[in-house]
Formats: sequence, C-alpha cells, structure tokens
Amino acid sequence: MTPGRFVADFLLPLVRGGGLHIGRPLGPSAVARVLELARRAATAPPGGADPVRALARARGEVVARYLPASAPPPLDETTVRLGAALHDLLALGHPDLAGPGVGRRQDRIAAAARSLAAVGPPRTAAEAVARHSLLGRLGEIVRIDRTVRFWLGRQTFVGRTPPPRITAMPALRRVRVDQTARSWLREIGIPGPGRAAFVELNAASPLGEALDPLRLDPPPGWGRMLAVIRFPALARVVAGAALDLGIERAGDALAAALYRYVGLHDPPVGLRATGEGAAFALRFLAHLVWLDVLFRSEGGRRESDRDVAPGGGLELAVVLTAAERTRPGLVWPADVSPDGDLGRAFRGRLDAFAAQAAAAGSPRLVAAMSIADFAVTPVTRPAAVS
Amino acid sequence: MLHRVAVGQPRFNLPGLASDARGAAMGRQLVARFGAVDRLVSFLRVLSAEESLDDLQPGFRIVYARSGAGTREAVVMMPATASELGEAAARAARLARGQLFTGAGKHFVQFRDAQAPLGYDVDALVEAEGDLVLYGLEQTVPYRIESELPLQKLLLRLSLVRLHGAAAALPEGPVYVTARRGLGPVLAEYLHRLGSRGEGALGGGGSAGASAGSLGGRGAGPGLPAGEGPAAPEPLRAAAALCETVGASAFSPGTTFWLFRIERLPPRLHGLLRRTPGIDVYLPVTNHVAVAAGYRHPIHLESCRASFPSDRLHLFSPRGVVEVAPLPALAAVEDLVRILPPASERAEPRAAAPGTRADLAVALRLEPGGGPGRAVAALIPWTQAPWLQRLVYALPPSALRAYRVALLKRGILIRSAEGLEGMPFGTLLQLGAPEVLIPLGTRLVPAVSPAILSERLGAVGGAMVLFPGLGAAPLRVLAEAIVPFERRLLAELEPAVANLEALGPRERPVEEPVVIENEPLGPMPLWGLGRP
Repeated sequence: MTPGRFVADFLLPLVRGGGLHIGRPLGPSAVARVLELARRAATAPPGGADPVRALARARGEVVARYLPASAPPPLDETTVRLGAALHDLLALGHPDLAGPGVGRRQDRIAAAARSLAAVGPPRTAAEAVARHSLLGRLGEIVRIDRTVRFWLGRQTFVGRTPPPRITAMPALRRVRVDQTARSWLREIGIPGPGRAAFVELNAASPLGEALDPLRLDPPPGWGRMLAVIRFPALARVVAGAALDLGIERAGDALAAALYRYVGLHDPPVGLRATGEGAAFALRFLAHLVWLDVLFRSEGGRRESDRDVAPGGGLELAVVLTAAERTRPGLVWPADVSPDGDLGRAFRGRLDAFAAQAAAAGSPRLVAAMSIADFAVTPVTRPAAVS
Repeated sequence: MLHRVAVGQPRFNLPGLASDARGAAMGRQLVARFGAVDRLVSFLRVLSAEESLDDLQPGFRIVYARSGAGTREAVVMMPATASELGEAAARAARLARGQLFTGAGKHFVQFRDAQAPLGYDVDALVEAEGDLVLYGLEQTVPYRIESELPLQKLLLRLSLVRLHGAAAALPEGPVYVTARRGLGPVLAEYLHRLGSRGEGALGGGGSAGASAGSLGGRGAGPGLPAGEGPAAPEPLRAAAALCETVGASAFSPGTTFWLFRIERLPPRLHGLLRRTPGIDVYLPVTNHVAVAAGYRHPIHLESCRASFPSDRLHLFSPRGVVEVAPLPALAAVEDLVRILPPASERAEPRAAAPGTRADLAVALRLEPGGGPGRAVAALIPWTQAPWLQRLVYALPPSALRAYRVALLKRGILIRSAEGLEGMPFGTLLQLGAPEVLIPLGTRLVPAVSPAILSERLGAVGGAMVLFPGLGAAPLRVLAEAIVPFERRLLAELEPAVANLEALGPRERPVEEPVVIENEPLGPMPLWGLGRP
C-alpha cells in the first residue's frame, strides 16, 4: 500500500467512515514513507483534493467536539504510528494469511504492531484528543462477510466484495448473496497474538476506553484511563459519558476496574498503581455521584436507568462506602457543607450505599477498605543522601 | 522478600491481607501447592478427615499451573472461611509435603508457621505476568493456570485402596449388592426365602418358628422379641431394582444389572455374597455413594457430599465407577419373586415393570387428524417474504395492529390473538394448546391436557412453541423475539435519507460506517515488515 493510499484509503475512512482498506502489514519503513508524504503535503500550495488536508479537516471536526478551541491535529509521527499499528491489528484477521504457519505470521505482525503502538500515554489533553480523533471509532469498525450461493456451489468472501463475475447472470445462475456484518471489536475480537498490541494502543489513546467503561474485553483499566481523566476538560467529558450510560452501570464497571488497578492485575502498561492514583479514582467516582445527585430529578429517571440489572450499583456502593469510612475527604469536597440541602441529599445517597453494601456481605467491603487504605497511605520515598 | 508480621501491625503490603482476631495475617483465600498429584491426594485425604470439603464450596478449585521455571504443579484454591481452617489446611499441606499460602486475587504469601506465628507479609509486590504469584521464604514464583480439575472428576478417577484384616470385614448396617441380570431373580428369591423364614442379622440362621410369618420388606416391621432368652433375629429386609448403564456407542450396548439394598445382612451371607462371581457388595458411604466391600476410597467421601448429585447413585469398585441415574426406585423383593399361577387357568401376560422411572416417558408426536381448527398464526418461508411485503399494503389497519411477528431462521411467524385473516400463503397454524402452534389439520398425541402440554413445552411467560410440520422438531420462540408487526415494518421502512435532509444545522449527521475492505496481499504478505 502506497503512502498516499494509506492516508486516503485507511486513515481517512477511519475518521470519516467508509471502506477501510487493509493491505500488507506495515513496518517502521512504511511509517517513514508516510511521514515524507506528510512533509511534502505541508509545503504544497493549498487547494485540490489532498487526502492529508482532508484527514486534518475530519480530525479537526472530532477534536472540536471535546476541545473547541484546539487546532486540527497534524499528521505527525505518533498519528502515523498509531494508524499503522491499527492497520496491522486489522491485518491479523486477513483471510490471505490463513494456512500453514499462520500463527508464526501473526506473531510477526503483532510484534510490529506492538512496537508501533508503544508511544506511551498522552502528555497533554490536546494530545489525548488528537489521538482519539484518529482512533475514536474503533468500536464502530465492522467486517461484512458475504457468501455467494449459485447453482454450482458457494463461495465466501471475508471482508471483501465479490467480484462481478461471481454474481453475474443472477437469474440464470440462481445467485443469492448472504451477508453478515460483525463488529470487529465486540464480535470478531482481537486474535490472541495481537492482544498486547491492542492494550498498547489503548494506553496510547485511552480516551475511547474511558468513554466506554462497559467494554468487556479488554476491560477498562484505571492505569490507562487516569492518563486522560487527570485533565479537567477530559474528566468532564468522561463523567458526562458515564452519566449518560447510567451511574449504576458505569460506576460498577469503573469500581470493579479499581480492584484490578490496585491489585496490579491490569497489563503492565499505562500509569503504575499508586496511592494518589487510587485516591483520584475514588474522588472521580464520588464526583459521578455528586453529579447524579445534582442533576437527576427525583421523579424522572433516564432511559438508561431502565437497563440496570437487579443489584446494579453494588460495586460503586461498596467502594464509596469503604472510602467514606476510611477518610470522608475522599468523597466529600471541602467546600460543601454537610448541613445544606445538597449535603443532606448526598448524605442520603451515601446511607443508601452503606445499606446496599451491608446487605451484600462483608468480604467485598473488606477488599474495598484495603483499596481506600491504599489510597490514603502516606507516600514514602527514599531520601537522597548526598 | 518476606518479613514476619509484627504484633499489632495494622497494615500490610499484600492486597487483601488483614489481621484476624488473634492479630495474625490472613487473606480471603488459601492456596496450597503440590509438586505431584499423589501429594495433592494425600492433602485432600488428610483435610477431608478433619474438615468437610462441602463447607469450602463455592470457591474450592483444583488447578494445574505452570510456574515461571516451567514446572507443572497442582494448586488447590479455597476460601479462608476461618482461622481454624487455615491451621488444618496448613497441617495437611505439611503432611503431604506441600506448602500453604494465603492472600487474595492474584498475590499470596506463605502461611504462618512456627518461625512466624503471626504470618508473613511481602516487602514489595512483584509485577509478574501470570494468574498467581506465590511469595515463599525461599523464592517468589509466578504461575499461569493451565487447566482445572473439578473435584468430582478427581474423586471418580482415583483408584480404591484395598483393606486387609479386620478392616475388610463387613460392618453392620445396610449394604448394596449388585448382581448380573441372570443372577438377580435367583438372589431375590433367595433373599425372599430368608426373609420368609425370619432369618435376620442377629439370628445367624435362627429357627423358622422363632418368627414364622414375619416377612421382610414392605409391610413388615422389625421382629418382636420372643420372650426370654437371646434377642429375636431382625427379619431380613431387602429391596431391588433393575438398572441399566448407558453404552459408550451404538455398537456397545449398556449392561443391565440388579441392584439390591439389604438393610441388615446376616453375617453368614457375607462370605457367600463376596465370593460368588457376578455379585458385588458395596457399603454405603453417603445416601448416594457406595464403595465396594473390602476397599476404601483414598478420600473421605462423606465430607464431599456436594460433589455427588443427589439424583443418582455412584458405586465405586476396583473396576471403576458405575453411575446409576436417575436414582433407582427400589421395590421390595417379595414383590419381585416369581408368582406361580394356578394350573387350571391360563396365565395372563403382564407387562414388565420398568426398571427406571424414565421408561414411562413417551415422545410427543404430531400426526394428521383432528377437527377443523381456526388459524391463529402463519409460518411464511423466506422465499415468500416479497409476497408478504406486497400484501402488507392491502392489510386493514386492524390487522396490522393486532398481528405480532417473529423472524425465524425457518421463516416469518405471524401470530394473531384473535384469528388470522387475509393470509393466503404460508403454513397456517392453529393452537394445539395455549401458545403451542401446530399446522391446521394435525393434532398432538398423546392427548394430554393442554395446560400440562404448554407447561412441559415451555410455552409460558409469553414464549411460543411452534411445530412446523410432520416429522419436524418443535421450535421455541422466546417472548422477546415476538414484536408487533407494525413496529417491525416501520423499522425496515424507515426513510433515513429523506429525514437527513430535514435535519437542523446543529445536529450531527449519521456517520458513514467504517467497513473493513481486505485487499489481496500478494505472494509475500510480510515483505518489508522486518524481523522482530
């Protein structure tokens, strides 16, 4: 795949929608060629149907949803590396790779994808959104498998359009085409060799993971999400998405992720588990409840709340109850009076949480108390001796 | 590195570790590690002698794990419900040459011992890939779980241990006896004769007159004391059932045998039954498990009751385990012995009593017949779906509102509560029972009551059961798959493009989907990728 086609037929459809063309897996040399193309495009006179500029415009529209004042992100090395890594991950399921030795081939492609995706967590909010503008539609990627049946047999095309000769003379040859659209992330899944690369990709662009806490595989990890939630502008966006999903469902998923984060069960990428990180996560969960108390009316419940399973919100209740018992400052802001209307409403919610946690039994609460303990433990570092 | 827990230490570095009432470090789980399966079996034997393994459920797991050094070890994981359990498990693990750890989730630290009465804690956690990390005094080993061995499967696989001397003698109490098919009636008659003579466990061949007339088995109570002297023998009571084992394949049919339960076996019969070929004696360990006489199971099965379902009987013998399912219905032997008919009358043939309860069940069949019914549904094959689409324009509004539809693999099922009208194609269906749809002109046999039929077929809670035709297997259509007809129509006919043009400028347009298009990779797909 040439650099121009990689931008026009892969990166651009990834942002704007359309056919996502998967060709031969890409390595570091391909990244260098695409960057050379980007440099030439930057110096070219404006106008014309330049895919690099079209990509910048499309990403700029995505960025404006989160940070309205930001400029369109450029086609820099990080962008190309992340795009190439995703391309390689998608190539793992390419039907032309099937056959003897497919495992070995997949290992090589996955290793290339992992090295490309290892760019580390974003350092600024703008950088996080810029990466997300490229990879924000990962969950929407679908593959259409078509089976063409005709009078002499049938032929299956995985992620391909059948050539016209296969579907020619449909009435005479009794041609029938059955097609199935399957989500790449949720139904097809990442092949085993590519899982580490996919986790690296999520660590490089964790905003999509933070906006979709109900994702099952790989499950959300605080070590990755903290890299974006620490920016106030993005924390508001993530909190809004969690409230849209429902405080019980999203809160449960995020609280369950906290156990994995503190217990070092997450893959070792992203930020390390620290007491400050755990405390921040607990405060963020409490922040969700504050928002819920502030903005949800008593009578009306949102549409998403109807999907809450019986016992929903238990994990959130247990974690926040433990945090409040360990140190109230983890869930109570210093500038809110407990005696005001708002404080009483929040107190009521905490009491309901405590009752829910008590009904569920003590073992989970004991584990949650250890998380809260970990969050408030004073940090000790070795002193430098000169 | 580990360090000993100090007295009053409030906090631990290992997640999930907490102080118990005595101040000792204890996690929510215990993990025992063994280098070989025989050590694991020794551990389970010692532990099952002290604690009931049923009390450790749920959460009791046996797994095979591969250590970071490449060795494959057996690991037992169990919940730490009490400190006493931890002590017992530690003793058993030491006896079996294993090691016990405590912790939670992924990290486990060595259990307390004489050197550290309050247990151990880690200096720092190790970030190692794996499902388990065991912190020992000598080394810290990560493990990756490879497979799991259910406790029941382990119990069924273990070979029995032969007993010698007095331990092999039959104790008092009920016994199970299995006999090959040909021996069963003979043994039943023999036991019946003994019961008729009043011979029992205490009598050891007592006189017939001592308890003449007291029959064993059904309706017979224990023998009454016969005045002074030694206690009267308790009459022999026995019951039996004909059991069948399931064959491994269609070419190796299962075997049939008789199963007897004898409440008190006379001592003089011990040797007779144990030495007769074709007859085996089993001693019940629990209500649903029995072990061959003269043998014992390596693990105390009475502490593993939950591992054996209560609806079947397990017979452990040196040749393997026989599972009798469902639990046999035992009949008193006096009901099984042959009855000689009067010579002057011709014997009437009697149907043989079924060996198990399942033999009474018959298959539900759909056959032609039945009176003229009323069509309430139609199954339209997908090839006729275009006809249905054209017909929709001609259907009256009342029909569109009343009909419900389910899209099945076999076709489109249209259901009407009142009666289906104006559907000139497809297979018309009537009600064979509430929410059980059968084609017009057919009926279900045997003609059991409609309510029972619906209940047994699962046509409750809004679900329907559909018999598509003669000889075809029935289908169950779940309630959530049945939607109003007009709603399904609207979803398919939604004019998305026309609405998009009317959208306001602030609304985001529907984005084009991202669809994978695989291109040909050519003869060398990894060209230029480089070696890792």
